[in-house]
Amino acid sequence: MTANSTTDERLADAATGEQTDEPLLRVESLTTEFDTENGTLTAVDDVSFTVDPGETVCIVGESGSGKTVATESITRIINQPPGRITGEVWFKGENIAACSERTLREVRGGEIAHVFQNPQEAMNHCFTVGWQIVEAIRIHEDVPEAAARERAIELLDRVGIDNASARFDDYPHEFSGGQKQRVMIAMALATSPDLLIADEPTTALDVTVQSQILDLLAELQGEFGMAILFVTHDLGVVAQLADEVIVMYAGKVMERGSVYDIFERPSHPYTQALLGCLPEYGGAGGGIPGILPDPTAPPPGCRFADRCEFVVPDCREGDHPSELPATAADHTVACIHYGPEGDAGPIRDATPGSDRGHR
Amino acid sequence: MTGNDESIGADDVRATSGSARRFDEIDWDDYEEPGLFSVTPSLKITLLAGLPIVLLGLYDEFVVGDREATFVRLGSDLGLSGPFETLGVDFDPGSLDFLFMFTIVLFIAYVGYPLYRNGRMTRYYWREFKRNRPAVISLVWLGLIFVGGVLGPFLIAMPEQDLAAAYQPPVFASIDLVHTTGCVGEIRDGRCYGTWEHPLGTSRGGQDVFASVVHGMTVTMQIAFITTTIVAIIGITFGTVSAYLGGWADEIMMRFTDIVLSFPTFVFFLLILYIYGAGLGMFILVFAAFGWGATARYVRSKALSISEEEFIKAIRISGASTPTIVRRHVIPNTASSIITQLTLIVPGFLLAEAQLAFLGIGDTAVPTWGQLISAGRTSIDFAPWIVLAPGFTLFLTILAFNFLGDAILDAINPEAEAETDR
Amino acid sequence: MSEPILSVRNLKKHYPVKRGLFNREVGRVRAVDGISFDIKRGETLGIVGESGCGKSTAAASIVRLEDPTSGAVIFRGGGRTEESPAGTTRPTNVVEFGGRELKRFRREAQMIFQDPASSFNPRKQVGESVAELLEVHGMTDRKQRRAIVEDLLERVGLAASDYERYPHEFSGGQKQRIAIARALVLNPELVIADEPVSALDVSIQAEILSLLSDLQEEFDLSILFISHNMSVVKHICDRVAVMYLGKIVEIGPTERLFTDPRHPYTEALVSAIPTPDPRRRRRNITLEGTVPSPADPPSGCRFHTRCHRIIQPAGVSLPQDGWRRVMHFREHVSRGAIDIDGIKENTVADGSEATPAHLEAQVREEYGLTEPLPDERADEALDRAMEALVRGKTDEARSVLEDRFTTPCEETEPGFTEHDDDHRSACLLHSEEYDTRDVESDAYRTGDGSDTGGEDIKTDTRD
Ligand code: SF4
Ligand code: SF4
Repeated sequence: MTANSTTDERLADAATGEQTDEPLLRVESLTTEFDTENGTLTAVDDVSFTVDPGETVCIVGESGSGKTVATESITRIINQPPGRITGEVWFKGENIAACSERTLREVRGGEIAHVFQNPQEAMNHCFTVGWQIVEAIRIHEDVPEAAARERAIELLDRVGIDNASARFDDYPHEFSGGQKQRVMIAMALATSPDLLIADEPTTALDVTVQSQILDLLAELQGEFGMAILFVTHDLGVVAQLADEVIVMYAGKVMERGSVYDIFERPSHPYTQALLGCLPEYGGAGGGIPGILPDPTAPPPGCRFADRCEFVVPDCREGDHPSELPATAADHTVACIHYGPEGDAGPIRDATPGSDRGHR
Repeated sequence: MTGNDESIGADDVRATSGSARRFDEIDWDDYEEPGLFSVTPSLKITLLAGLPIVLLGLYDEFVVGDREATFVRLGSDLGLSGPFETLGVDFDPGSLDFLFMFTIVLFIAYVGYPLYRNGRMTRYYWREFKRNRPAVISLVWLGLIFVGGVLGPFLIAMPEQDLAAAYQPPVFASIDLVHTTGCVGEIRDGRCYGTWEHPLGTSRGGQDVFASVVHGMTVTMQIAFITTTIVAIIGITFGTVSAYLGGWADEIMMRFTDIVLSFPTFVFFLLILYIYGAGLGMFILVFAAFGWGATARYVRSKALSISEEEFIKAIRISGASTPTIVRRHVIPNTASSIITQLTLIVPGFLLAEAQLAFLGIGDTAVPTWGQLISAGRTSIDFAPWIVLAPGFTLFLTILAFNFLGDAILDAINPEAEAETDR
Repeated sequence: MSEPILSVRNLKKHYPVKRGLFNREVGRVRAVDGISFDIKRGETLGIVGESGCGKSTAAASIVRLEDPTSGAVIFRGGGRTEESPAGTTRPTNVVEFGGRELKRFRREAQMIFQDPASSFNPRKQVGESVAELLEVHGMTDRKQRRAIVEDLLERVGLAASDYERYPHEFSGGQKQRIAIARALVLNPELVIADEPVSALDVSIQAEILSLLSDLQEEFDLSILFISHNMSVVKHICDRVAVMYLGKIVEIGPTERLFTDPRHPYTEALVSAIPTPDPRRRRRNITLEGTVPSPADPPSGCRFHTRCHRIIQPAGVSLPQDGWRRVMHFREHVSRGAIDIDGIKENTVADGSEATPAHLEAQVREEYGLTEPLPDERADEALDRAMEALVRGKTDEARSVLEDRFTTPCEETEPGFTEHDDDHRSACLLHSEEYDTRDVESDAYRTGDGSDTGGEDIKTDTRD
């Protein structure tokens, strides 16, 4: 399975200490701001990450973490103005943050496809779903209509629409929520993308439907060999799906690492607190008291300082802490206690569910 | 124990149970069902201030003779002629004036007082509103018109005919002497120059245009306030009742609204005019009586959507009666759309009045802007101010109402606020 | 403890579907179709189910936000008659309450709603919104009202000075705290919480849930907790009822229901919860198709159109997944959902006419029926049906299928089977007649750990 092989490769790379091939997507210092009536709102603040081919990277965070804006900034589907995006986005060796709107349009929906939370809003209700998929294919590829049609039916069938050929001519409203999301996935796959950006694709769905869609995505990923950048607030989904995890809070990356790092060796106080909210990890902790800092005027120092259990006066000074290695080279944490003068011991001891033992 | 300012006759209840300071200490058996009808502060204001006006209006209608000035008669009836005369109290308000006063009281009670009472919310609205510059200017403009309309007639006398001073130009302007019968100001090079005596010049009859415009403000404000009140009362009642009755009643009421909406009001008014003759009062009545259709529809749909909101469900399961819920929660939350709707209706009425006056079928007894424009149109080539002064005032007023409507909608739209919240 | 505070008996809420000029009733949406359960004093009962299962309608019918079509809601059943003040009849059935009794009942049963954004009047200070309830019930002293509400605001974790603030000045979690205050201010005994944390972030959810359980303990509240989120329900409820299409399919103590679900639907639901443990990735039970319309619910067991354990008739013995596929196919044929002409049109890419064999292959592939069925007679029937179908004789195909492939699940409506203390489920598999198969060893069984048959999709490569 693709996911496994990449994990293996990465391990091998880590062992020899060299990163040979360029990742599929490399985002450098991405910052997205919005001009609002109350001042400049920084939704994403200096975020960097990479996605390797065939890998599943989950960005997890609560509302206001900037996770959605970060992914929408990659292909610039954010309106500018009021938005302002800076930073570099290297996709297959090309900086698409610098390229023209026209080139970007080819990438967007071509090599990088999006699936959104609300299929209702992402579809055109005046056209049949089949027509919309054919359209998606033909925008990016010069194929005769009949061939595009055949491919569209195949795709619908592949994503699990019963009687695909008959439903080709149905309108979006004739599909249930889960089916609409399947159609959206078919549409996203129409151009065999290398990267699928899925923004909370299952949040609006019932749990049994959600599990169907997640299974489907996992299958398709292997089949199409694409990487998935998956945005969600649901840690359960992350655990089921991710290879790599990025934890965001208030526009900043707090912690990143493999899915095992995050769930078994969570090292950032925020990640720990978040996991601690889950019933499976003890749950009764009573949540994380406090609220997000004001995104238009973030306080100095660590963004999480107001809600952090381990806060010390130094936390509230200077910039947000930089990312420091925690348990492995590619497991990093943005918390001063992991710095040269810090002592991360107490935080490590507080790992939720550490008494749970492994199965 | 004080603070019981909202209802009456509950002293005994408080005497036994006023001590509970925590919700789980309350013994509900000590409390009685509240009465069906409670006297709200708004209602108190209406009764206290509105009742005298209504009584005075009735007194004027039935006791005071046609040619008598109301307050002179009142003075003599009360045996206070002396003091009245020394104070110079000799007004003679007509029935429209009484109606106008009463509607102002209603506005104070149901718009002004709630805004005052919820000071923080009002300041918040004001902050939002202030962002919209044109709207603030509009508000100032309408404020001027309102003050001018209410106080102007007391300060500036009704313009008199003075044929010797016909077609006087406004200050800083001049007119060829051939058009004038005399010149109040300076005469240079065969042209008559305007003076501050007539800042906006005079009309053909020598009436001061400024004074006429000010008196026109009164009429404008009367039209605005009275129609708004009538339309609001009928529209809101019809809309909410229809929404809450549902079923057949709703169906019938809404079809009736359709009829009202498609009714050719203008033609109907002309008909009345030709058969019975009609003044400004009739104009207001007829147009308001057929102008509430859109408001009723608006209110109904808004009320229906609001009653789906969870806070309405929450108050329903608290045991509050439907009329209370409608009065306290549904109507205040339809306010933004009602107010917008009304600020858009008023310009329509003003324009309709001007059109009628221009066609020469308006109420000639009242100095409206429309009358002024109509009177000045024959001399527009050499004395354009007669048309321009009231014309611009009318134009700006209508514009101001439109701007205001938009800004109010933006400022007090809580839905938009809730969105940014998340 | 034994006396339930609330007993719901055979509660139904149907919405008429009206059409035409005279608003003739042409059908009924059976949103809630005969549910029964008890809530004990101080207990939290959860109702779970997916959207459209009727759980919210059930809540609204119990508190009479909606008038139930039939059934009984007994509030504080016995022990109540002697409390009747003179002059009132005081029936115990909420469904029959008149104005005054209903208003009294309102004091004793309150509700918390889902959406913090819309649960307060945006033009009122939140304190007033809470205090209004006191006023409605006759507390005329404004100062007293204020004192009580301020005290309550502090108890739910806010400040007394928050009384004067407006809803838009609070975050979602804070608003939900105020909503809890509003639900408590009349000092009720029963609180119905309809998805109270679904709109909140995880970290806030946990806060609100622990607040709710603290208050429950302090004031001895009974809670009816409605949610679609199985993890939340598992966390907070003592007992859980699972609803599907307007009916309760299983009800029992939370622990038992989650570790040993007896109804196939519960089993599927439980298996679908994504576990936050990357080492326990497993294939979950996949339910076919979508939830049928409550306006036209399936006969017999309402779950039979999607059930993975659907029972085979005597004389048929197929592997369970094959049998499920056959039934799925049968159902689509019966509904006329297979559009042979459409398939024909779309399979001809090269311009030639599609042959029946070609079409049959298409259909078989579509329904995963390419392999011959291991049961000869069944296979023969399927062949005949296929043949008829592709030749356009849909009726014949239907009758062949409906003859051969029947299931008791569509004929008999299952009653409840008691398992052990207070754990009941409504599935024919538990009745003696059909209890021939060994349910426990079924291939679908997931158990609660990877060791009992859960299949790992990915194996661990590290550690
Ligand atoms: S830097 Fe300080 S405030 Fe931030 S997470 Fe670390 S300990 Fe907490
Ligand atoms: S009765 Fe049949 S269809 Fe219903 S749940 Fe049980 S096995 Fe499944």
